[in-house]
Amino acid sequence: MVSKAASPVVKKIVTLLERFPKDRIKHHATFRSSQIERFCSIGGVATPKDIIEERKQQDEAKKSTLKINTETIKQALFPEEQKSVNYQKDMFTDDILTQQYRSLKNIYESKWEKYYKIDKKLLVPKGNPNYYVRLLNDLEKGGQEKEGLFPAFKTILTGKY
Amino acid sequence: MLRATKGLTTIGLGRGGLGTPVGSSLTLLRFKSDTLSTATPKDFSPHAFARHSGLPNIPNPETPNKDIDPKRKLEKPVYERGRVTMPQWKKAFGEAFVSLFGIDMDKIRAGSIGGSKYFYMCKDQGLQFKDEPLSESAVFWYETLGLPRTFAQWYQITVLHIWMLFVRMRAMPFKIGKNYQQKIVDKLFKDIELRLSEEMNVLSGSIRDRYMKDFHSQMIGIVGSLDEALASESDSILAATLWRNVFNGDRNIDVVKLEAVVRYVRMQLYVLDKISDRAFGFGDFEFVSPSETVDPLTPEEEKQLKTATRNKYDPGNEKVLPSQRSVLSIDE
Repeated sequence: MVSKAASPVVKKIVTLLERFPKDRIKHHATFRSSQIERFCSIGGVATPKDIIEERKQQDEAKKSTLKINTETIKQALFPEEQKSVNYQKDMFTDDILTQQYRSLKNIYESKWEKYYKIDKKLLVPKGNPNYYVRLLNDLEKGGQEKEGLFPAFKTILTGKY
Repeated sequence: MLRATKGLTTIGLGRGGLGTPVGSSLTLLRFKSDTLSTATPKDFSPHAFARHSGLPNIPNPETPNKDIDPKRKLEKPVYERGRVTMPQWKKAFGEAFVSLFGIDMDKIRAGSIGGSKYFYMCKDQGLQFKDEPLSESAVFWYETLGLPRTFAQWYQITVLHIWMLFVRMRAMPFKIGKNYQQKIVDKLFKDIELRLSEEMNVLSGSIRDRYMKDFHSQMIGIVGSLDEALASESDSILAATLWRNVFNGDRNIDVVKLEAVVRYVRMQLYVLDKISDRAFGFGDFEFVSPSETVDPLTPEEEKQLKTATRNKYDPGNEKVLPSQRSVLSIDE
């Protein structure tokens, strides 16, 4: 079980996770919110409201895409089984939580991206210099916008983006 | 050339007393949870780095470890198993043929290097069979990271490696790079279809097709989101993508292990960034093993690497064989 002294570490983890960038497009699961939920549960901290909202929305969206919802079947078969996720709280000691925090911080600060710096050769590839710019522009718009007729023709004919 | 140091020599020997390495480099030391080091030294290999986490593997109930017995195993083609020697007359005939018809060797090479050598390299990273000992890289993925030993997981690992090659192939001249990409994807799906029918015992063609369509849409998703992570130049987005795909969105993820994979990917991309078009196109690239680490090159070493590549591919005085001709750049 997490000792009372560990709770500051958990709080640090949660504040750090809240600073993580939000997904550009919606996915079935989000690293940021799922981990905030998890560490809040481990440290006994109340989960922020917006995270609970997001979770609800994700579950709703998932329902509409699933042909067969195994969750409802499971619930009908084994009603007594607990529904919440088992976060294995007993495993977390102060040391482990500090270690998790360190790694999370390294990820947040892009430690390895800076350590293994790559140059323009890969980021602006000479075979397709516009590739990443166009990808990011499309994602900023939510990935929903369609291409116009003439640019689409150009893409098909040249194969470049 | 790139300096890669074995995880065992740097950690096992360099840091005496932390653990006793037994036998191979795979039985690396494991820190006891009371002596957890909070620092993360840069000479750690991703494998050692993941092992130094104090949190034990927590099985994910959503992805059970349900591997099946293979019906029979597909064999690697002879020319990918090791050193193959060709009789002299065949070589001479080939050279004459290439020279006579003016064959574009960059086009031909996409098949033998991209579609064969590089594909098998990616395939072997996470290849495993039920109840069989794991290869060195597979130990990293399945034992250390605790990922389920399944076909779907193998696919995720393979596509991650293929994506890294894609990133490099985009930086080649457009037509050639695209050809390499096409060949590797063709081979991947041909191989999946064979593996499903021969190894996984999926006998119905329509079910195989359905699986393959599913794998195809997964591939679009993985490549798209990894590209997003690369373009945003941020480890947090890369970590989120890897968590969604390689770690199957596991809620009980060990962040140390996630960081180890982030590091592994960055390390490979760094090597790919430093290798020249010519060397990459001729199949000189190999993935750095998870139990090895890469040190960033100094400008001096980069120069040495360039000279070494030039000496190998353009010695100056010697005549270049028709089959060795290429328009790929030696310097970039």
